[in-house]
Amino acid sequence: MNSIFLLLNLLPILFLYQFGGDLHVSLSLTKEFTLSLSQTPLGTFFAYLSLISFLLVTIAQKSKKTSFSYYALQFLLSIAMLAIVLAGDFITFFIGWEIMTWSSYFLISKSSDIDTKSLQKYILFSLASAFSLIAGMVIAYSFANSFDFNVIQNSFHTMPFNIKVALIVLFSLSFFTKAGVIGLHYWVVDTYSKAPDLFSSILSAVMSKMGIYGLFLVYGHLVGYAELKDMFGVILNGTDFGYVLGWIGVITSIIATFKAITQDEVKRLLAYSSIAQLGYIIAVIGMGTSFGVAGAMYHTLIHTIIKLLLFINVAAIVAQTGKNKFSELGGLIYRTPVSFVMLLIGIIALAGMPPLGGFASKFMLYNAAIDSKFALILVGMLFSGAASFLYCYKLVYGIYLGHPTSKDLETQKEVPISYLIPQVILALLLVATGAFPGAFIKVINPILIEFSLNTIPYTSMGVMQSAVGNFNGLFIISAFVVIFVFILLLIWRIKSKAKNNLNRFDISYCGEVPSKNTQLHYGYGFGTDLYRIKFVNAILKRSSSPFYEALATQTKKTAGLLSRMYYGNIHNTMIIILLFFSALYFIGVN
Amino acid sequence: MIFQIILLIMLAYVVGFIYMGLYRNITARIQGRYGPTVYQTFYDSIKLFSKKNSVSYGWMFYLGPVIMATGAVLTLILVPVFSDSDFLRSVTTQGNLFLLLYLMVLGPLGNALAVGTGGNPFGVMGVVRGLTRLIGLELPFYIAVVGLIIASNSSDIVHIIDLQKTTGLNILVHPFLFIAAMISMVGFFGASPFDIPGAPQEVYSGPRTEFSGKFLALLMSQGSIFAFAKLVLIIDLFLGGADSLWMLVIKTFAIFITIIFIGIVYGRYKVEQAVDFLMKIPTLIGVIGLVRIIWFG
Repeated sequence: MNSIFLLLNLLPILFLYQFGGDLHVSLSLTKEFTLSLSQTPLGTFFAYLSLISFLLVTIAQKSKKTSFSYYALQFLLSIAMLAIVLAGDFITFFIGWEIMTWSSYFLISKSSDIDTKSLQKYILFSLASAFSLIAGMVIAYSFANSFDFNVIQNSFHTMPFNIKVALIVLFSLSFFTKAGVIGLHYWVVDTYSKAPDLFSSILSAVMSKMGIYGLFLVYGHLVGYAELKDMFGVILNGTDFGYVLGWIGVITSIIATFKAITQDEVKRLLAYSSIAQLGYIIAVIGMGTSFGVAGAMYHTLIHTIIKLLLFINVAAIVAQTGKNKFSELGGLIYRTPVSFVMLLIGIIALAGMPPLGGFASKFMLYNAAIDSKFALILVGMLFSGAASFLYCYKLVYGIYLGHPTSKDLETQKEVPISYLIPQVILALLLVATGAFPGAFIKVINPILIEFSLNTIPYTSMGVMQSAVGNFNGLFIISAFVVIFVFILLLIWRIKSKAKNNLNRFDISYCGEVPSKNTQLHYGYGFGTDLYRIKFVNAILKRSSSPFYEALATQTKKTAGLLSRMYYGNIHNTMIIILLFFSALYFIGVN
Repeated sequence: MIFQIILLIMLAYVVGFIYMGLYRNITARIQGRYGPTVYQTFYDSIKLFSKKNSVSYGWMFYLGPVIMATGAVLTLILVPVFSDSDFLRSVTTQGNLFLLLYLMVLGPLGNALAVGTGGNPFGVMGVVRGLTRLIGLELPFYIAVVGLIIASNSSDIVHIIDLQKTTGLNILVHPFLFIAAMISMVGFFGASPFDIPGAPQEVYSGPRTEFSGKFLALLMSQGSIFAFAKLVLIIDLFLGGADSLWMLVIKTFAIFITIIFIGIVYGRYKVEQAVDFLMKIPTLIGVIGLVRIIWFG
């Protein structure tokens, strides 16, 4: 079954490769409604991103027993996303959006540890996002008389100012919910952590990017960055609009980073980290400069690669050991060495360390902020980056380093090869994006032209141009490798012999000898320091759940009040229905 | 070029070790002790390199110190040491400040992996303290660096040095940024009050607890090379770089002695106190400098 769906997942990629480039198909339903697919450089980028991700996750699914309906829903989801990114009008976009919501809902419900509350959260927020989207669609339609993206784009500048603002806010809210901006992230963590392990990678790596695609579509294509600049004015070297989004993104990123550090469940940490990384993208997406768009695009790519890698890695470990908490794992490094190296590459990129692709994208993001002179936003991004080292280290330490916390961890074997294949591919991609950061500029430039922004000069594969200096990825990675090998050989040749394979209790432990019952794994105590720092404690003790809980309670009460109409006195119900219809009648007559 | 790189590493190695020796010596004299000789750390390093046995917990433990040393050497060759000469110019033009900010943390993170592999809870505790401290420690330094990048409109260090010839030294033009960066530097040098990760009486020697023999020697050597690189970075950014060996020694020593004198009079902070402090006063000073550049520059 796996191979059938592997081939099936390959088909859209081949289709896009063969017939893509300038795909324009439309199907008229009535005079006014037309379903159309229209390929843009932006859509093509996101289409390949999502399709290849699905392919890799399907490879990883081979060793996990998966039902036919799971595969079918996953395939449906990938097609829905294809429809979203290739849509040429809002009707097609919305159909894709709804299929995406529902197929992912059923996929999440297939998990063994999902509960009703998390499912309800997911579907409620998805519906809220869809309603916000549909409200925007209808308003846009009432002014442009068409759902077609190009028509809306052309008539946007003729709309009144408040309608423009309303449209931007409605669409932004819809896509922010999908991307999980702080405040609207309430569903993200529970859903990501309780979904089937491999599906979490799709949720974090691909589905959240549909929100980013939507933002690009609205800001870059429908509204246009030039129009945003005219509407809201200019601050420093960027737009007011970009400044506000910049702070939203930075605050999202900082809060989510601190929350991530204190999580004990592996997938919850990754979920928060996903929110934080998307915060970076949102911080630069509104700046309206070439570097802003390029930074957001590059980080979208890198984050997709990293999160696929990390979630697949964690899914493999959870499947192998049956444990998903840092306090229950540990010491797996020499049991599952390949997995360890893959996760290591993942976290080096996640932390934004130089030789790998993670740094290239961070470099672009920071340059975007410098280009707009948004200094404090840049400091915020750097700060959140520095804090993220902690959760990156927690991720690798909690699972692979330190001491095994239980007996069965000491006899684990390497995870099945089908989990490792996609990880190796993704890790190589991270190395490639780090060594050839300039190559991606060729992908970005057509998108910049589509948004009518200046293109970024391309010099060579290895060099990334920026506003205030260049990053030569090829040089850095080769210098790193040369120095690394040199020092390694040097230390290898030094005559002193290293005593290998010591017993793990042979450590210096205050002059005592730890016994088998001594707790030596530090996984659980990680991040507790943070609660004692006033500023961080202020962030950590706050949560959005009281607000949403209260909202839910109030809604239930209101609904209870309304339901009395039906369950109470039949006369009242009749009178209300009569009044309703007479009101409709009068409105209709007038 | 290879020859120049090796020469530079030798220079950093020697100068770094002498500074480390001076650090111990001066600290001792201020505390009323006689203290070790200036060359003591140098002797220690040679001795440790020639030890017959050292303890290792597998390949990751082996690679950790190597990654750390790689980070230090890469930082060293990317920081322009001499401002007006062609010394390693082809290499230093590839560096920029964002790259250096991240390279400076690469080594410690690489070493943290080895510490984790060793499995000593004290070592990991030290690493976690170090990373928590980093949250606060990086903040003023980032502000200073971002301020300088915006003020000189370039993240290229060679350009920042050249610009100081016309506008005047950054220490005078942007004093707030200098103060913020210097407070961070005290921490980067592991001086009090920010010497939290390797706090001897609390967590053994923190991240270094399990290392012995050639691994410890490598860690010490990279420490001195890295210290030199950080000093050169500071004088490049704020003191207009150095055009001769003598200027290099004088300027780096001036910065170095300031750090010693700040460090010696303070006791050690707890990690939360350190982060709290760093997030308040130095950050505020830095933000004042930054706002001055953006809105009134």
